[in-house]
Amino acid sequence: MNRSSAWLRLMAVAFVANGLGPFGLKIMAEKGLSETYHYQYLILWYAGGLAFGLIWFLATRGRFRGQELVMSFGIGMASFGGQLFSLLALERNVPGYVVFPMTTGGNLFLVAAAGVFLFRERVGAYGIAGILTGILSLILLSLG
Amino acid sequence: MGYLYMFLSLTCFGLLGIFAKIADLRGCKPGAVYTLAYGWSLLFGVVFVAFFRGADFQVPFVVYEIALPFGVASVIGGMVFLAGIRYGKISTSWLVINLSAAIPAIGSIAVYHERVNQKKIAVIALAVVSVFLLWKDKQADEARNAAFNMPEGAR
Repeated sequence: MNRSSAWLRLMAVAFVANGLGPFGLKIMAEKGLSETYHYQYLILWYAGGLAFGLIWFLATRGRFRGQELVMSFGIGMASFGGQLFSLLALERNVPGYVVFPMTTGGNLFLVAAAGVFLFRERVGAYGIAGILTGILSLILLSLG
Repeated sequence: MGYLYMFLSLTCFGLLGIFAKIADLRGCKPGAVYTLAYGWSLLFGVVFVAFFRGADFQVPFVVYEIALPFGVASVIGGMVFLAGIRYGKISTSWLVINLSAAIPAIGSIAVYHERVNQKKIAVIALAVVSVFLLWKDKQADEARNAAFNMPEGAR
């Protein structure tokens, strides 16, 4: 299997699994629970992920390294911070039609810029067209 | 103040992708990184609710039933994503992960029979076109690298 096929297969699995993750919030909203239990839901959501990760990690007899502890701290803080600040912005009456497209489009630009300038990635014409099409799709989606 | 929170939010989400790339460059194991990351997030969440939301941890059982499996799906997505960026660029892989926001939209149509309007069709069509273009970019990248690595006479 070449690198582009491996990348596409792994991204397809990540796409579906990662996309299923937030669907629980939709179920919560449909049952009228999301307003009251949003933060508690988030805690349990992370707990589910942690439990699975630990079981999988113990089953494969893995070991944690110091480097992984530091990187995971950054990822954990960024993940929780991103969700928390979005909620706080909405609670401070910034309209959802501003918050969602800005956070989605903005974070994509930030990571694309880091890829090019920080990690020296070369993005070709197809890549640039793909990024712009994707950002447009996500902005349309976040406008509800 | 609300707009400051919004910019902090987009910065945090962006840092999430950047930390993932750094973790990959440093040879961190995807399973270890995401298991620990969910542990940290859980800790931050518990501290936040304990100090700023009246330490109210009581929830109906149905919340457990919804949250736990979707948390599992999410951590699997994170682990596989981190394994995948080893084979691709963060600038394009991160977009694919963000495009997965189309899945709840499709789920809402399939499960809750939400009306399909032209905008929703456009969102899904653009997402498919985008992923196709990113895959073409990856293929073009590989072709360029293969040509670059060929022996001088074979070019």
